[in-house]
Amino acid sequence: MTRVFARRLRNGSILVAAIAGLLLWYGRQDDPLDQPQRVTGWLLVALVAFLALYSVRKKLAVVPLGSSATWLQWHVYIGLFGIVLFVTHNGWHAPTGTLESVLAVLFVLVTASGLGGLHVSRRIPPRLARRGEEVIYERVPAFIHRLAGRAQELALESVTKTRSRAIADFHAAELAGFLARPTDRLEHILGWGTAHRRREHAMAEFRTCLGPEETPVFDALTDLVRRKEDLDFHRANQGLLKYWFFVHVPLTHALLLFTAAHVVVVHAFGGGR
Amino acid sequence: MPAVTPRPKRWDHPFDESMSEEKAADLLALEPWKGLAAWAREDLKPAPAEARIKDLRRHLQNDARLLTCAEGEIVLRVGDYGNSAFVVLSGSVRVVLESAERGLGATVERKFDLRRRGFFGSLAQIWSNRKIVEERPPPRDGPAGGGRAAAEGGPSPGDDYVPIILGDLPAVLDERRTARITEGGIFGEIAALGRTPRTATIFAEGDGTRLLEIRWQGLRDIRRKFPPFKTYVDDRFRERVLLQYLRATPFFQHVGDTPEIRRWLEAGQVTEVLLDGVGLRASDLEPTSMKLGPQTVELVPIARARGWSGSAGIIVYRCDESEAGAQLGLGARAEMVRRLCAETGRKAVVVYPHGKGRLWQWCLAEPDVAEPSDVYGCHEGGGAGADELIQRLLREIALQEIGRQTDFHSYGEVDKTQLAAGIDTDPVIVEQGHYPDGLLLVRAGAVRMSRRLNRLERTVSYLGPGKSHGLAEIAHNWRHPDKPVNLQHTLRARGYVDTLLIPTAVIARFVLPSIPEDDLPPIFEPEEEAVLASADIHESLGGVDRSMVEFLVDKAFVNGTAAMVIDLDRCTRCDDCVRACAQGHDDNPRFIRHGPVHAGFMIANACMHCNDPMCMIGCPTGAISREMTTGQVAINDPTCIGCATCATNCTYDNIRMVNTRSQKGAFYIDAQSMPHMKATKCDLCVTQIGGPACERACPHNALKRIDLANVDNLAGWVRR
Ligand code: SF4
Ligand code: SF4
Ligand code: SF4
Repeated sequence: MTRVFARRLRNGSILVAAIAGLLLWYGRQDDPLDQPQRVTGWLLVALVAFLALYSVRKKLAVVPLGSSATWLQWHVYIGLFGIVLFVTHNGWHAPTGTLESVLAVLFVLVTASGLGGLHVSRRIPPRLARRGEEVIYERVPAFIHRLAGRAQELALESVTKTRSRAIADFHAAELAGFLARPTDRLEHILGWGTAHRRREHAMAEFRTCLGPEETPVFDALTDLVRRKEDLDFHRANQGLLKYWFFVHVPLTHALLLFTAAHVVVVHAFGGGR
Repeated sequence: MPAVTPRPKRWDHPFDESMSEEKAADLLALEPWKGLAAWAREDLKPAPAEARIKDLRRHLQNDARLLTCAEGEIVLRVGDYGNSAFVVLSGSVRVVLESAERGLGATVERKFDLRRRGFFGSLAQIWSNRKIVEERPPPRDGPAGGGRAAAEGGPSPGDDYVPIILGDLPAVLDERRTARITEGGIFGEIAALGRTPRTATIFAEGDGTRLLEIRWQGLRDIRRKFPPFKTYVDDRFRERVLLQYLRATPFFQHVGDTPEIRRWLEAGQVTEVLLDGVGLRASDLEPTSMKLGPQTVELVPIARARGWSGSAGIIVYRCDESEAGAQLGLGARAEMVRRLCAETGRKAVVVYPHGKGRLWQWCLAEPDVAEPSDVYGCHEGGGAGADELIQRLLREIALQEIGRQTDFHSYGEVDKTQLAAGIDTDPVIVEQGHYPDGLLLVRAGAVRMSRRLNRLERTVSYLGPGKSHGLAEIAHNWRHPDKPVNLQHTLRARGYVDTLLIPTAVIARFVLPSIPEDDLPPIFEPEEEAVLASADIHESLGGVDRSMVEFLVDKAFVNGTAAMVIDLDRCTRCDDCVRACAQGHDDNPRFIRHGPVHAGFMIANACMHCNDPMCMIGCPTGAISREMTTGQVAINDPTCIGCATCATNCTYDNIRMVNTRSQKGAFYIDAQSMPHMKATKCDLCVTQIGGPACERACPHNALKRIDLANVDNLAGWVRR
């Protein structure tokens, strides 16, 4: 058993036990709308505040506040517990009232973006590791620019070397646009491969029409196309890994605001219940 | 507008600003410099001799400084990293001769701890980081680096040097075995030149002890320019380091304790123990007598051993079975041993009274010290305590004998080009299929272990400092002389490698009989060579793929004690690690999350804090050096002159030269419009209370600083 598996087993068991404890306690309450709602409400506030603290920890990276990995573990498992707590707090019903509904939608969105982020952060890195060269996200456009320049040179060279415009024309019509900028973001994220297959097909067809002098030049161009696809793949997937965060964090801030409003409203109009 | 200022040079910041030319010239009249100057005058023509002496004076003026120590003041501490050596100018110092655990080192607080930020300090730095990237004070106006730690060449902690004084000096001297170093004696040079930890704690013996401290760059140059100094340093290396090394190596734990020796001891057969058990020779010296108070004692030399490098050896006397000898008290006997040691100039003197069973006394003197150390052991009567004490002595004698027969070899170069080359060009240390002519111990550097299969040589593992090779084969042949095996692997040097070779005969005589049967390596089963080799090549090494091992060795990453390994299957490329590094380093990260990748693991371009840091070799000012207490390779910014020697030397491209700027953001340039540069690199967050910020910041445990000298460290992490 690896250490990671052992850790997951332990944390998972604690989570299941905590959820079971919560449900058991909730089931034993006489008036499910009074005492339990207050307790779960405050617990939920504390829990959301704790989850939001993780981004503070990330900002104070050099301060010895425990490792970010440990924080993330707590963040994930407490977040999962929070889902059940949230549903319990609502008494297993859909919320009524505008504020509560907005709050519920925000909670769902934050949770969904969190789970989505967790999913992509586990799924994408191994795919990145196995595709092309490792490249820093911010440098991708510069590499693409370089590739496009090299492709342009090859196309021009082909005219002088082979005394034919075939490759240059194919490049201008089919490849120049693709090579000029990052493309196919969604394709690479969802793994469709439609554009890739279309391009491969067109290039394979075109290659059969080339003479022996032209083939090596075209193969070099094909190689550049493959490298461009790899760069697109990295750009799309690394982008997703970076930008899901920009959904999760602002939503969290909104959730915090609405939670505060909810607490005030409940205290002002609900007699502190 | 760029700020024009003169370009910094090597001796812009002398080790000691107050060291004048006259003071340096005065030092030339003292040993050992006096002897070196005399050598130059005798052995060189007048003009080169004068130039060489002038050079020596310039080194003393710029690379040395004068220290005055109080009684009991710790000068250096076991375990600290050495960046300088010391010469005693007046007074004396004491070396604590006991091991690190028993010696003073463990009980005395660290002397030059770098100032780590506290919790609030680390919080405050987030807001106090410089606004301008790579902003620096104007050259020359910057701090010259105060305090002893800065002078040691380490990162400057400011002028906060607080000497540590041993409280009860007489008690320390009573309790510990120490040796004295007096005027003209040098110490600390081995650790300084090898850039390794100090092996002993040394303190000043009297008030006003004057020392000259020389930083290692100066020492290295003097050693190169003065051959007698080189010989002296090299000989002392054999004397000082070898025995310590042997004592600390597990194979030698039981040396001098074989079943046969035990039997001889039981039977009181002292001569057999000495001659056959621990390898001394029969003595051809004349008997002597010694007057101790009113009594005269007859002493018969029965066994002895030569020392190495022409230095002192061991001699064993039998105290004649006279009435006088029998009546001597313990104190008188101790005095007898001390005097014998001093008179004979031997490193160790052992005396035992004939016919008195287990009454032994001995004295071990350290080489090159003015007087022998105190009586090392003395025991009267039988029992387990006596056996243990005698065996400790026998082990020392046997170790000295092993040390005497040990050969030193070094291979390869501390050279970027050699490291960049592949397996074929790595110098061979021992070759597969050859007779195992000795046990090879790696003292420093990284060794590639390879195996041939169908004429193709493949890397199967590597050995770092402290590892050995050949014991399995030697042990097999010792137990099965009828079915001998040859060496199963080839060893090659990756960069500069220091090794010790203890001949097979010595191992068979002293070491193998002392290892319990169960601890001996397993014997080789008669299997097909190809099957063995194939298994060797294809099996993983504790979870690490062999091709990964090959990659680490080929790229020489095995030199790294804190390599930044990133698991690309987990890394989400979030750059939290980079941001954390920037936060701790004035908003400019000290590494790039990029580097060679193999099997899903990246060795990022962050300083690996190498075992043998090539970057330190050429630094003219000592700005790049090991931090004293923890050994990280760090750069002292004020003394860095931006010559880029370190950046050029670092094979791994882990040092960045940066343009420096004034507070207003203007680039500093010199009169030729060349920018002023500074070297920057990962300092392993030496001033951060929590340790490496990059590692702590990674949310997915994808980044780890790993000592790659031992493959098990990587294996443990990969298997997590
Ligand atoms: S700078 Fe380079 S050579 Fe020096 S310790 Fe770091 S990695 Fe090793
Ligand atoms: S250990 Fe510190 S200085 Fe080195 S790379 Fe990590 S954060 Fe940067
Ligand atoms: S913090 Fe960890 S996951 Fe993020 S880029 Fe660095 S190594 Fe990768």
